[in-house]
Amino acid sequence: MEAVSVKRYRRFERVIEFWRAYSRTRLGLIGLGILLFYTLMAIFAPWIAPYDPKARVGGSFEPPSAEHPLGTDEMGRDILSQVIYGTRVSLLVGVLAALLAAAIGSAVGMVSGYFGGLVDDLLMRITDLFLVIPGLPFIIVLSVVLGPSIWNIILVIAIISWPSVARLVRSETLSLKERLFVQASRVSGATDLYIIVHHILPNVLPIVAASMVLTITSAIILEAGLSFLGLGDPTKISWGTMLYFADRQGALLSDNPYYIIAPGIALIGIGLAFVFVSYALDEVVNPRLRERER
Amino acid sequence: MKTATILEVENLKVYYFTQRGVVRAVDDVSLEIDKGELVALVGESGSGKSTLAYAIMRMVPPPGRIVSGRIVLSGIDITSLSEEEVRKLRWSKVSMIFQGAMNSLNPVMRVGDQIAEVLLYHGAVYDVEEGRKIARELFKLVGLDPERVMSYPHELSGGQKQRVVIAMALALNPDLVIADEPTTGLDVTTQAKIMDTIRDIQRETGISVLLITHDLPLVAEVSDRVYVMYAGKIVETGDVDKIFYTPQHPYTKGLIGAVPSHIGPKKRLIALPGEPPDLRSPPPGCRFHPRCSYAMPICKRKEPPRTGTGPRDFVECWLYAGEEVKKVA
Amino acid sequence: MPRQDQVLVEVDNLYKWFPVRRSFLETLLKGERLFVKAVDGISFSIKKREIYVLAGESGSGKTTTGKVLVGLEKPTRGRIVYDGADISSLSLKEWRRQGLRKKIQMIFQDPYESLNPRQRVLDIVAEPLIVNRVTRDKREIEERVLKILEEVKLTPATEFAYRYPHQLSGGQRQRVAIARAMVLDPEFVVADEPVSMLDASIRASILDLLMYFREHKNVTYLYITHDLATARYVGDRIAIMYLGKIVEKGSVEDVVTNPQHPYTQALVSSIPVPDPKYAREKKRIELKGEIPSPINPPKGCRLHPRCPFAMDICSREEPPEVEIKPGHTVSCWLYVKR
Repeated sequence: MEAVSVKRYRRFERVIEFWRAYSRTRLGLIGLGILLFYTLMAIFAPWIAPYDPKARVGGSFEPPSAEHPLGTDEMGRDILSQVIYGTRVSLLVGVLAALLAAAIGSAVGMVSGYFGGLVDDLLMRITDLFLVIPGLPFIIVLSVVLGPSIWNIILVIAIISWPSVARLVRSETLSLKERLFVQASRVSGATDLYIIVHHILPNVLPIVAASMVLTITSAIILEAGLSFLGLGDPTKISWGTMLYFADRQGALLSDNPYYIIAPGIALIGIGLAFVFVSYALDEVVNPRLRERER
Repeated sequence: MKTATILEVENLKVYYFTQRGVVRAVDDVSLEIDKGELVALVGESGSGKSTLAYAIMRMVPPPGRIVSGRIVLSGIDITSLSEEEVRKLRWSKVSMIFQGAMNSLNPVMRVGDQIAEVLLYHGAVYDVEEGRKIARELFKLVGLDPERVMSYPHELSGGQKQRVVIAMALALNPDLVIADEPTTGLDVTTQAKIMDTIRDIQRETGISVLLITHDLPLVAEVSDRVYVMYAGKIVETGDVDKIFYTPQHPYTKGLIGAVPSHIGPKKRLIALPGEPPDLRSPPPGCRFHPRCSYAMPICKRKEPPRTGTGPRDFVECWLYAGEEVKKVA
Repeated sequence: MPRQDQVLVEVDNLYKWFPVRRSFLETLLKGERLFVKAVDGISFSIKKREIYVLAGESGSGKTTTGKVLVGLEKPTRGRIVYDGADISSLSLKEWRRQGLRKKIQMIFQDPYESLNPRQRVLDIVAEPLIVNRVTRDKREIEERVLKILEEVKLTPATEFAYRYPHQLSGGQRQRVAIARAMVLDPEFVVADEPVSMLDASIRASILDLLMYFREHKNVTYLYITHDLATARYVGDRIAIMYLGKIVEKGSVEDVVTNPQHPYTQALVSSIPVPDPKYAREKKRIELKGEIPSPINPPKGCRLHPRCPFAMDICSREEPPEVEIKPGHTVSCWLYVKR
């Protein structure tokens, strides 16, 4: 309604505007704070962790003490150090799997929605196929076939996560391609590829990003789940493998229940953080939820 | 006074308090409408004309609010009423045809029932059947087949939907109807018919209408008097013939000079240069001076005085100020 | 300089039908396929440096015609000759290969929708240069964009180039859209209601801009509108469309000030006049009811169910095109001498 202010506007100001809207959501800030904490922990693990997580540094199942704040495991390794190092694997798996899923999903969704017709039918039937496959059994079978490795876990999680992204991106693309600016671009002489890269992609990215946050969460939890079932990579310390070993060694009944509680709480924390961020993003990115500033 | 004044707006100020500054959307505006008059409020987008309408409905959206001034509607000062009291007056004393309202009809409800709902809500009827009966009468009034009360919005054309919206505005027999760009988005022939309908109803029922638009030819066709609004202020007012045949304010002249006509000799159009100002920081002095081809040094310094015969016929422009006034300034 | 009377675009018996989407079951039950007959056999020709107006209300097929002419839609039937070459059957790839994209451009009605909200003005206007591989030199692209921004009077250009659409007013956005259409120096531009979404006060300046490009760059226009008053201001010749057909053709001055077809008369008499005394006295020619569906248009003359002058024959046979004055034709039985 009001006249437009004369101001030079640079790309980064978009970011600032985004941040301003985001920082107004309290949940979002809390979530981001927790995530920052985890990220720093993952990056600086070797400096923060008091011990080498794989080294025997005490007796087995030692209860918490000044030397070992969370006690030790059956082999006398420091639990706190393991939890700190475990952050690395969990985050790596979560982020990479979500990125892979987002990439596959966006590509399939955009191509399907943009070109329509036979391509759309074919791609969407494949998507449906993956959507109706029961997730957990499929993952278990696949990881057994592929063998226990962190890269296989990432791959497997991406395979079951991309279809929902593809659905989301397709429906967004369907409405975007009818927008006048896409038609204008076509009249200008732009090729389909150019239009997808320059007009469709930038406009679907925000919703892909928002959906990715939730994919990361489920990927982290899936990784833990797989590892807990013994399908993880036993050479890497993750919260999932910790839970697996803790369970097998009967940690809950031992002198040091923190063996099982600590990685559990770490998991809940990161899951909650991502959910908070996703709520906040939804509020900022989703135009229907965003209050209009007059 | 011969006829009753339905609406009196006195020195009204409505500001939006945004994060990036105060938007002076309506800045010291006075306006009056008599019973049975069709008065037009003309201005570009961003002139504050819709905000003024919302203020009269006491519906200024946050972060906006009425800062000062009075709005007297049928003898009642509505600026001092509580929200509860205003709710009773709204629709029964003053109703509004919102811009694009025809697209906001409930798609899963019969249009007659949507009118009946308004009647029920205000306690004008006690059951839906009675409401539908009145809706039928209203449909006849606005030139719709009464059987259309049973239709859903998607079964109606744009023009028909707009008639439903008009019927809804008339449902509680208000003293004043505010019509905010009632014909935008409609075809030319439909537009003409809708305006005819509004004019006819207004003459038959003696209702008062405030027509808000940027479309000058539309104003010439239907209105009795005109207020010209620019950057939050009324810059000129007068009866419709005066505004069109002897406009005084350079802005009014500019608006008229920029509009093509299909009758008479083909004239050269003179476009108004520039854009309306940002109402967060309007230019000092006369707000129109940066776009005015008659601008004098004084225009940049001081707000122009009002010259004319009264509150219904004046212009605010330094060109018409007497020499003494200029000297004092 | 091209001569005035050379034809640039010739549209010959053009049809554009859109199949109606139906469910599988419906197709089984009813054998025949249904079509929206958006454009149903129209012919006109546009001369070089002319502003040819295509006027009508929504549902008349005027925008579809425009889209066919810029290659956004393929014609169902009929011929389009551009600068002597038949382009009606070219594929989208051919269209680009022959450089038609550079010669033919379009300006859209809604400047709030036709600009990508995530791109800066610089990126928007540079796009035709980039996608048509005019140059790869970033400096040259920027220079050309700044130059065209100056021409459409978005000054200072260096400032506007770095703004996003949401920071511009409606008029400024439409100037950006015009800059994008003009940056390749096109020969022919389809302008689809370029001012109808804008404030009345700034329409004249946008129209002047279109005429500037005709004067200085020899641009030929198809100007699509429902507003006969602005049509008269910019246009040279005009065709009035109703329900997929052209009902009247002629010079803008003739058609608008002396309309012959009942539909044109109704249209002209509906235009509000910025003259209160004239407005009070004028008589309106009113059409009955609403525009019928283009899926099953009325037989004979398409206006007959709504026409105040309808005769017997109007509902049976399609009216022929009658020339009532050199260059002014009407498709109406009223003007057929029998």
